[in-house]
Amino acid sequence: MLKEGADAAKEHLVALHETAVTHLKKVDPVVLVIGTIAGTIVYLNTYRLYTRSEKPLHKRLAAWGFQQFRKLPAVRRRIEQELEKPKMEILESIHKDDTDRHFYAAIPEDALSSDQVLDLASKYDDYGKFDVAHGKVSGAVYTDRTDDHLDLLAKVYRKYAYSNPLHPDVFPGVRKMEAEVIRMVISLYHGPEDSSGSMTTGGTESIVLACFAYRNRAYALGNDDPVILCPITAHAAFDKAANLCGMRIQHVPVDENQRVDVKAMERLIGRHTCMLVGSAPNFPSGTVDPIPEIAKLGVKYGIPVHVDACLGGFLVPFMKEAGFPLPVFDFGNPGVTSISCDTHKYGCTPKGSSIVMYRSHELHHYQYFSIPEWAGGIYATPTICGSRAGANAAVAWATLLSFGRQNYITRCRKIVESAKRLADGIRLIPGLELHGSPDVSVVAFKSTVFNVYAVADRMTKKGYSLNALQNPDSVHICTTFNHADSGKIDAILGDLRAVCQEVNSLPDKGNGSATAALYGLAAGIPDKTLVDEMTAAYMDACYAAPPKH
Amino acid sequence: MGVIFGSRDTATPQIVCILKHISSAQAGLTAAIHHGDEDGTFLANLPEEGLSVEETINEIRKYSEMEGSDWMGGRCSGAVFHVEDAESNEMQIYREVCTHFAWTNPLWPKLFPGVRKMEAEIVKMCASLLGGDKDTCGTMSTGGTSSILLACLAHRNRALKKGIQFPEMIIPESAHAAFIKAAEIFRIKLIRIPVDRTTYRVDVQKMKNAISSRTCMLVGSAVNFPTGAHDEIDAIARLGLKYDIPVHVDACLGGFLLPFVVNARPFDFRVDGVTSMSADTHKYGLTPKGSSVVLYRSKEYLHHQYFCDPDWQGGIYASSTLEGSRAGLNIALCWASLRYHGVAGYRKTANAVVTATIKLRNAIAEISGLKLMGDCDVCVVGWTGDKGINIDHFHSLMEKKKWGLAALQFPSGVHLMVTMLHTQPGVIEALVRDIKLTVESMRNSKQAIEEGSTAALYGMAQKIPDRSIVHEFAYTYLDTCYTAPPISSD
Repeated sequence: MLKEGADAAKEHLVALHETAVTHLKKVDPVVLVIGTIAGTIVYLNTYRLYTRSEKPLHKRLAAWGFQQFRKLPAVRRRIEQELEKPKMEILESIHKDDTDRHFYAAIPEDALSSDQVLDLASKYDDYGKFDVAHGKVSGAVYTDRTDDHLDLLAKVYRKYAYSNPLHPDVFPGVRKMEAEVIRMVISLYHGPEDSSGSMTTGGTESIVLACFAYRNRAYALGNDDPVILCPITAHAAFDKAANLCGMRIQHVPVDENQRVDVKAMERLIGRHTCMLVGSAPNFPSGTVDPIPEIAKLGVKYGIPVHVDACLGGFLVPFMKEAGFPLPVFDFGNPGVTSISCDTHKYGCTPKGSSIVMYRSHELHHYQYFSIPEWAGGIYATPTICGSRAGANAAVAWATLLSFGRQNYITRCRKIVESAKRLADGIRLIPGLELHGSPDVSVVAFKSTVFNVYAVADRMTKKGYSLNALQNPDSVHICTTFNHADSGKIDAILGDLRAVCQEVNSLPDKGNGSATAALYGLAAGIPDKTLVDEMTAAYMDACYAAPPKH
Repeated sequence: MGVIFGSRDTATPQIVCILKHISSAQAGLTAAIHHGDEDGTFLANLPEEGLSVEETINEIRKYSEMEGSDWMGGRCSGAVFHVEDAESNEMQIYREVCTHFAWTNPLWPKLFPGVRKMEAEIVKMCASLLGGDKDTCGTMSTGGTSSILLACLAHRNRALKKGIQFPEMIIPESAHAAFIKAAEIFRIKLIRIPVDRTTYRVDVQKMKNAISSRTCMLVGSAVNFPTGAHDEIDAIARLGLKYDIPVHVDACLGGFLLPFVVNARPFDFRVDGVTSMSADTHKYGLTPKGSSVVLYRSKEYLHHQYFCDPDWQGGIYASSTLEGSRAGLNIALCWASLRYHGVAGYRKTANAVVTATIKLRNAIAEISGLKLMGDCDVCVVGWTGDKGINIDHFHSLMEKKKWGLAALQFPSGVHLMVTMLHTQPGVIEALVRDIKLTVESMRNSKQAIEEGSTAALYGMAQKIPDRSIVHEFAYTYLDTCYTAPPISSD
C-alpha cells in the first residue's frame, strides 16, 4: 500500500518535471538566465526594502506618496510659506532669554582679562530663568548643588582640567579614578567576578555602546542583519544606535501599566534578534519593565539582555533599603548581560558621566575598538571617544566618595516618597489620570477630558518646565532632590489643579494650545520627514545668532 | 591560525616565540600601567558614609601626585598642549566657571539658554577662524574622534539618502584612526590610499582612481597625526568638486596653528570644494580636555548629522551630536578659554610651536642615521632609522632616558608632537642632545631590544601576519587600565 503510494507520487513528480521541461525549452536560455538573475535581485531588494522599517506597509506607502506630493513646486512653495511662521517662532522662543542679543562670531583679537571673561560668563549663566531649586523643573538637574559640593568640584577641577584617560601612562591618577568609579557602580549592580565596564559621556553613549557591542557579537556569530528588540517605551537612544550602527530595530508593545508585554516580545524574537531590552525604569512613564521575565527569555533563546537603568541608575539600587523593594533588575538575574547607568542623574555628579557594564569581559570586548595597523601606532579605545575629559571622571569620583552610600539611600527615600505623594495627588485631580505605573521617580499623567498638552503649556507660564510625551498624549514630571519636600509637591499639585480647571473650562478644551498644535500636526502628517525638517529648524535655531528686532 | 604563519613544520616555533613575546609584553604593560600606584588600594565600593570635603581633597591629592611631573617638563609627545599653573588667572577662571556651569546641559536649551548661546558662539568663532562665511555651521563635540565620527555619519547619511546603499569613504592611510572607527561603527566601506614615501602626503592620483559611484566622502589631513604632513587639500577639493563628493579636512591638529602660519598652503573653507572640517579646541586651542568642533560649509550637510525620532513616546526627540545629554561645563570652559586667549594668544602659541618644531626638524636632519618623514614643519616631527639604525631599538633607548616619544608603524618610526611644554627654554636642546647620544651609542654597540618595552612590542607586532592577535593584545591593554593594581609580592 505504502509502496504503491510512493510509486504514484514518483510518477506524478516525473510527469510534472517533464511538463516543466517542455515548457521551459520553449524559452530562450539567455532570457532564462537573465530572468533568474533579475528575479533574485528584485527579490533581495524587495526583502531589504520591506525589512528596512517596522512600520506597516500602508503607512509607508502613504508617507512615500506624501513625500512625492510635497516635491511638486506649487506644493513645496506653499509648505515653505506655511513653515516660515513656525520657524520664526522657534527661533524667537530659543532666543527669548537672550537679553542683550549680542553674539560673538569671532575670537577676539586681543585676550580678555579674567575678570572680563568671568563677568560675561555670569551674565550668560543668568539667562536661565527657571527656578530649579524650588522644584519647578522636571528632571534636568537632579541634585541641590550645595556650596560645599561646588567648592569641592572646583578644587578637583583645577587639578584635572587638562587630564585625558586616553594617555594612562601620562595620567595614571585619573585612569585609576575612572577604574574605581566603574567598579563602584558595578558593585551596586552585583556584577559577578568577571564583570567589566566603561565610563562614557552620558546615557546615550552608554546605550549606543551596548548596541554596538551586541551588533559586533552578532556579526561574529554570523548574523549579518542584527535586530534590536526593545519596548516602545525604551529610550530614543536605541533608535539612534540602530541608525548609527546600521542595525534594525523592532518595538514591542506594552500593557496598560506601560510594562513591556513579555509574550509579545517572545513572539517577535527571530533568528536576527541580537539583543533584548528592558528599562528600569523607562523615561516616559517611569515604569520598571519585568526584567526577570525578559532575562528568562534571554537565557531561553541565548540572546543578550540589556537593562537600561540610565535614568534611575542611582535610585533603583537603593530602593530596597529605602523601603520600596523592586523585582530583581540587575546582574542577580542570570540572563541580564549588560546595564547602563547614569552617574550624572541621581548620582549627582556634574553632567558628562555614565557607566555601561557587562557581565563578562568577553562581551565587553565587542565594544572595544582597535586598529593594529594604524600608521600612528597600535590604536585602541574602549568607548566612542578618543581623547576624553579626565576632569569628568575626577569630579564623578569625588562626588561618589563625598556622598557615600547612606546619603544616596536617604536621597532615594525622599525622592521616591515625593513621587508617590505627587502621584497620589494627581489621582485626585478631576480630569487627570496616571499614565503607566509610577514605580520610581517619574509621574506621568494624561486626560480623556481635555488636552493635556495645554496643561503643560499653562504650567510653563507659571514658571514650570514639564516634559511632553506622545502616543498617547501625556505629560510627565521627573522628581529630583529639588522636589524632595512635601511643601514643594503640594505647591505643584495646587498649581496643577488650578491649571486643569482652567483648561477644562476652555471651549476647545485646550486643543489650540501651542504644544497641542505641534503634536497634533506631527501626528496628522503621514510623512515624518516634515517633522524632521521642523526639528532641524529647532536645532539650527539653537546655533543661530539671536534675531534682531 | 597556524597555517597563516607559513608551512606546518615551522609554524609552531614561531607561534610559541610570538606568544612568549606577548606574555612578556603584557607583564611589562601591567607594570607600566600601575606604575606609581604603590599602596595597592583600589576603591571598589561606595563608602558607606560620605567623606567630608577635606577628606575627599586629601584623597584626590594622592591621585594627582601619581600623575608625577614628567610631562610638565615636556618629556612626552602631545597629550598636554599647554603650560599650566594651578594658581594662574586661567585656572581661576575655570574654577569659577565650574561652579556656575557644572550641571548645565545643552540638551535642554530652554533651561540653559546661556550655555546654548556659548556653544553657538564657539561654533561661529571657529568657523570665522577657518575661513567660513555666513552659511558655515556646525556643532561642538567631546573631542577630535567625535568630530570626525560626526562628519563621517553626516556624509554617510547623505549618501544613503541619495540612494547609495553601500557607501564608501576614501582616506589617506595616514588619516586619524577615528576614520577607521567611523567606518566600523557606521558600516562604511573604507578605502585607504597610500602616501608618497618622501613627502608623506596622500597620493591624489591614486585617490582619484579609487573614486566610484559609491564614494560618499574624500578625506585630507591638515596636518596628519603620524608625521605632521599637510595633504594637498586643494587638489583633493578639486576632485570633490569634479565628482560632486563631499571633502572633509581633518584639522584636529592644525586648526588652531595653520591660520597663523605665514605661507601655509590653503586648507580651510577658503578652498572651494572643502565641505566639512574638524578642529580640536582642546589641543592647540589650549582649552581644557573635552571639546572640539565639526564644521560644514552649509546646513545642507549639517542636517544629515542631526538625529530625530519623531515617534518616540518621550516626546519628539532630536539631538545634534552623538550624545543626548551633554556636559555644558565643557562648552562653558571652552568658551571662556577662547575669549581669554584671543587671536593674539593663539598667534603667539602657533609661532612658538612652529619655531620649536622647525628647530627640532633641522637638528634631526643633520643627524646621520636618522631620516625625517616628510616636511615636519607644523607641529609634528617624525623620523625613522637610516644606515643600519633600528628605530624601534632607538625608541626603547630613548624611553630609558625618560623621553616619551610616540611609536609609528608601517613604516616604523617615532614622532614628537610639539606642544607649549616643548617651547620652554632648553627642552628641544636637551632632546636633541639625548637623540645624538643615543644614535652615537647605537653605532658603537650592538645590543638587542629589551623585552617588554614598547619598542619590542611594535617590532614584534608588525611581524605578526594574523592581526587578530594584535587586536587581542590591545584589548588586554584596555582591560588592564580598569583593573585593581596587582598586589606586590614583597
